[in-house]
Amino acid sequence: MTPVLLFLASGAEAAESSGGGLPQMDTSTYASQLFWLAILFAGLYWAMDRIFLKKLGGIIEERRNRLADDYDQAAELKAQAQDAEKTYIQALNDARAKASSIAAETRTMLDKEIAAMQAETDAKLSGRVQAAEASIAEMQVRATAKVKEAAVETTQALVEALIDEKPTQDAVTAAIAAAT
Amino acid sequence: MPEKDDLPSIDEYGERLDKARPGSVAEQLQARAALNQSTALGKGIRIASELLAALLLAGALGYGLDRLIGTLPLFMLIGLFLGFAAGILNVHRAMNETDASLAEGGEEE
Amino acid sequence: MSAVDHLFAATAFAGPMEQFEIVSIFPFGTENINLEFTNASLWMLISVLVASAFMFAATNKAQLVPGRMQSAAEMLYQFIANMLRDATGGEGMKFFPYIFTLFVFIFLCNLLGLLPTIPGVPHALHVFTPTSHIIVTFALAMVTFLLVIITGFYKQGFGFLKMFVPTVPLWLLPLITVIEVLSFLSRPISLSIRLFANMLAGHLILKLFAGFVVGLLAADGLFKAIAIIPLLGNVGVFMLEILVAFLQAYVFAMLSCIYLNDAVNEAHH
Repeated sequence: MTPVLLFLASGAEAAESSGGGLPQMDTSTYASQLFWLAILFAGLYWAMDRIFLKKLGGIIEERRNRLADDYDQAAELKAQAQDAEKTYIQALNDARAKASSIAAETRTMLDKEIAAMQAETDAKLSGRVQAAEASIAEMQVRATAKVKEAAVETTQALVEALIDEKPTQDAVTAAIAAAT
Repeated sequence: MPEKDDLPSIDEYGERLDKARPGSVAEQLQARAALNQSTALGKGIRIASELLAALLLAGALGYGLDRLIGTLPLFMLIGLFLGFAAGILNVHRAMNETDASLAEGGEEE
Repeated sequence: MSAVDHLFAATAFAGPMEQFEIVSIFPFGTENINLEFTNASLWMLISVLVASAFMFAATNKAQLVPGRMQSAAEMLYQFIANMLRDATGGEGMKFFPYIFTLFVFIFLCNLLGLLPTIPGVPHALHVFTPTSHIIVTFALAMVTFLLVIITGFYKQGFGFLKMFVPTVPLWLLPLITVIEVLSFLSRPISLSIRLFANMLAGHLILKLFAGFVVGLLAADGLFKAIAIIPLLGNVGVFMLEILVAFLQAYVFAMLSCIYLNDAVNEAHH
């Protein structure tokens, strides 16, 4: 007989010998099982509830609070840093704006000054030009008069040499005026 | 002079801060439990127990009633019928629970 | 008798149901009620002691920066807390110690029952799985069931009964209500059958495979070589059973949470 068959047979035998059913169906064990289950389960529940879970829950809670605090603090610091950054950028922009406005002001001021100086110089120069023109004109007049005088004298001398008669100054002047 | 390009380090820091905030370790455990596949045997026992429980209960109640008023097979049969319906309801519920509350996967046995 | 034969006699010949038999260790109780301390009681006690030792080691020197044990315990704590919160929306958090105890107790009963028995020790000391007994799982399920009923009526009064009255056409209502009540009442039964059947089936398969291994090893020549097949099978089943030990404890605790939700929150149909 093979051991496998032996094994199977013994299994069936054991099942029969224990009252012809599952040990689980043997109600005579129920009272004892329930009794010890109740005591042990209640004991474990008590220990968990009063000791272990209280401790474990406490430490988890404490850690959560501590971490939350730390994170809050870190977040606050971050916010502060961001504020500082904002202030800094604000100041930077203000400074830039101020600098550019000062530059603009200075430029307009300088422009004005330059324009004034230019106008003054222009006026001075044009005055001098006018004076020079006037003196030139006067010199021209004078030169013209001298030329006429010289022309009269020359004409008198020429006429005297030609006809041995000295014409009057007036006649020569009139003749020249008529000729020119 | 520090320019604006130097400053995003604060945001980076903030991101790191957000990432470091703890998600629960237990969630990972739950996800792992959800990953486990159920066995065919487990599924079978699952459905059988739901159906059988209702059948047994209703059948026994009907049988008790019959014994009490001497109508033997009547209420037991009615009980079995209703028990079957309740069993189907149980199985239906169990499947929904698996989907909804027992969370994302056949960890049910 | 060779060593193999010895092992064979000690384990396989005992039959696949032997591992579920209740054996008295010392008597206790009255003449009418037998409350003897048995191997079942012993393994429940061992589970409770292991759970306590673990929790003690985890919380004895609890620190903000947790050690290995404390981390494991905290993970379990969060795991159960999340499960309960997800199911009851925080309303049921006062049941947290109960659900935690329930899960740990069932898990350790399931798991420790998978330890191999040392060959040759007296029957009373053979490894035993308390949760493979329907009366134990039924008792645990009834605790949840009664908690649900008591809390339900306490918190919602007769409004608790609304969960049996879904919104259906009036002519269907009596029938549906009866079915709903039956469904509700069958909860502890299905809960206990599920855990019990899983443990029973797992251990039966392990035992049967082990029997095949031993049987084949005791045979001649080729049969000895074939023994590797059920042996490998058993290794696989064993791994699976460790997973099942966890999952069944999880499912039991999870369904307890879902049922407790009906008690603390009004039903939405």
